[in-house]
Amino acid sequence: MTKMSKPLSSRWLVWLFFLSGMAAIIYQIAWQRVLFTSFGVNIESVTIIVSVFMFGLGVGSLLGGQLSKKYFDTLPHIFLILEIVIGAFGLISMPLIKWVTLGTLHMPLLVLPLVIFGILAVPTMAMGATLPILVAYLHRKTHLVGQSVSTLYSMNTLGSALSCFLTVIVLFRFLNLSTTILFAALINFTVGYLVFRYMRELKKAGAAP
Amino acid sequence: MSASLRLTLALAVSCAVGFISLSLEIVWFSAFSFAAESRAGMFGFALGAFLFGIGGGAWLGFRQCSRKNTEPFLFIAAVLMIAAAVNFLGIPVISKIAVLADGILVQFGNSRMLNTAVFLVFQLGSMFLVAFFLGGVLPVLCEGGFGDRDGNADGLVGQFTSWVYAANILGATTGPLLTGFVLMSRYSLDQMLLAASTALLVLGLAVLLAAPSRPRQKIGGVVVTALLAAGMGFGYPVLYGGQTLERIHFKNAFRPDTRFKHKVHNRSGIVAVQADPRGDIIYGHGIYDGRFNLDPIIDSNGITRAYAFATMHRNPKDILEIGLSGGSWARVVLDYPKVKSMTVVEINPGYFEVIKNYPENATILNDPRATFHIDDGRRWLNRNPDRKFDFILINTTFHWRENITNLLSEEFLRLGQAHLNPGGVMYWNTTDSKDVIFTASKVFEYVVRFAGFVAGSDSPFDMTIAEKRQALLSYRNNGKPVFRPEDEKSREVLERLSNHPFVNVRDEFLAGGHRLITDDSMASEFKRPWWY
Repeated sequence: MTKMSKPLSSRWLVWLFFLSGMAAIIYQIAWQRVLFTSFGVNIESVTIIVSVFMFGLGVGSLLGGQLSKKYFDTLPHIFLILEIVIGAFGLISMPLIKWVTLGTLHMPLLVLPLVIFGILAVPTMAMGATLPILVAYLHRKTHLVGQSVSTLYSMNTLGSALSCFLTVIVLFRFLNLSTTILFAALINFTVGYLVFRYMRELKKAGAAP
Repeated sequence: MSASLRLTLALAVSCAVGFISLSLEIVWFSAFSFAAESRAGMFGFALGAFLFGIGGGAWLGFRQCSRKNTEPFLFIAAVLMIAAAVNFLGIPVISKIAVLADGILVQFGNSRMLNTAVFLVFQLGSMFLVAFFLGGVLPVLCEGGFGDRDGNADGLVGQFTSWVYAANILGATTGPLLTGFVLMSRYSLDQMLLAASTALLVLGLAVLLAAPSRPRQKIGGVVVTALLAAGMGFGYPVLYGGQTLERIHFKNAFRPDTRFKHKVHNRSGIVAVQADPRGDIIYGHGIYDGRFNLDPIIDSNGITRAYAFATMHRNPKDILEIGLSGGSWARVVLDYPKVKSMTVVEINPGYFEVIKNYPENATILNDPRATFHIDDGRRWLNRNPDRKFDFILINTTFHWRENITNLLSEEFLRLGQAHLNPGGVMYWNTTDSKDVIFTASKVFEYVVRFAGFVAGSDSPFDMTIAEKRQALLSYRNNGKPVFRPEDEKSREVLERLSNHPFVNVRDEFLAGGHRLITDDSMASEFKRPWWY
């Protein structure tokens, strides 16, 4: 178990969180553009996307903290489910936002932002929940809170940072907005698949996940 | 320090750092996009630099956490003070570098372009540094606040992390809301940067005093804080001088006496005006957005393109203009006697404030035929499906600017088309992009060009030269004819506009070789190399 789980948990999972951070920022940049066509290019759109990401990440973090206590023995499973939820939402996000925009076109101006906020809160909460869950998992392996948080937080943020440049220099140039979002969803599914493989290998080795 | 006090301090600092970090992200991004002329992709660049800083700072925190003999809160106090100093010095130092670098860069060709690139790289570097020091705080807070260095509380780790993280997020949510919606409309960029540095300094001092440290460390920290505060207090008028916008706009061309004549900074962006004898120049968030000039002979702002609207439609009674800028175009349209009503949709209320300084243009604000809406043009059209117009006029900004797709895409043109009366015309600026004309050709049956503009309609542009001439001669500004055939220069302009042949270029452009701009493709913004 030591031979397999240590490199997998402290390096492999950390890299998966790097990828997860990449996907999150692609969504943020892409959804912001989709919202611009719904709300207009204004500070309200930027505020909605920033606020919903912050709200989702914050509330998700609190929920993730609870989940990390309740499901302490199955933390990788929870992480896997969250990645699948984020990716699945990514797939339907563009048509969903457009559909909601059309449906609320003639309602009071405040309705659309509120509905969009509610919709985007789902994937962003899932994103927020992943950090405490992985921190709890890595802490179980290393017993160092700060190191666990720092490693995951820095890798996740560096993934996001790299993704900013990747999105505007490469993805938006060679793909379209919709295919860029599809690319982000594929990252989530890939992460989910790799977590699944990790758990399967631990099971084969007879170790607890 | 007791466990509960550590936790309380950790949560308070986490929240405050989140607030200041995200506020600074907005302030720095505003300055960066202004300096970068709002080029497409700049949001990604700025966000990337900021996140690299946060991520790198977290790595710094990681190293700090592995040193078990140091007090985490002392480390936090130190990085907060460094962040305060870097934030304060950032833009003035970059500005100095831009001027100094000019002498070297001029030997490599296009000095202005190279200088802009150098300026932006240094600005990204400053954003990175500020974020780097702030990014080191959160992980150390988790370690310092939790205080379980022996790892005896596995089940609580996730929950504790979530509290600190959530406190950080709470600050990070309220920060942009308060800063973006309230503070940036009331305070200048200079004041915002000074306020953020001061807040960081105060926070650093508070953490230092609350931290369990030796008296010598506390005294040393207070002395450093006092020195930094004094440096900022005395340095502010010297380094900033109320000219931050001028520094980041003019870059290498900035001189101590360079000042904008008017500037309005609000949540929609920055409107600035530069004095110029050929008509004051108005800048919309860092890029040329027109001049205050109505004279077709001077034509320093290409105002003849506005006069030409009368030669494209025989009876344009109801007009929609999206984007007001300095109001020169709206004044010209209202000077055409056939116009019965004009609807103007402008997203930035700052333009109205600026226009009030120019009496000739300010008359549009009291013209009974004109109505104004502060809104996004696309949203306004979507929410007013029953409004129809004879003419839709948009002096669109440069096709490579961030989010311009919203006004150039096929979807937007079809939306505009649906708001035209039979025979109506849509007329907008291509800023020399052939992709814009190609996209127009996909939507309209008749597509004609005029001096960098394109006009689309489902009816032919078939006014005769005599009709055009008559239309132009009917313009009246303040009761006086605009075009005077007896004046040689005026006659020259009149004949040029009257004789301009409106040739349908639709088939020529549909033949291929161009990119279709759609909401999905964002072709004019991103389908060229990012340095274009």
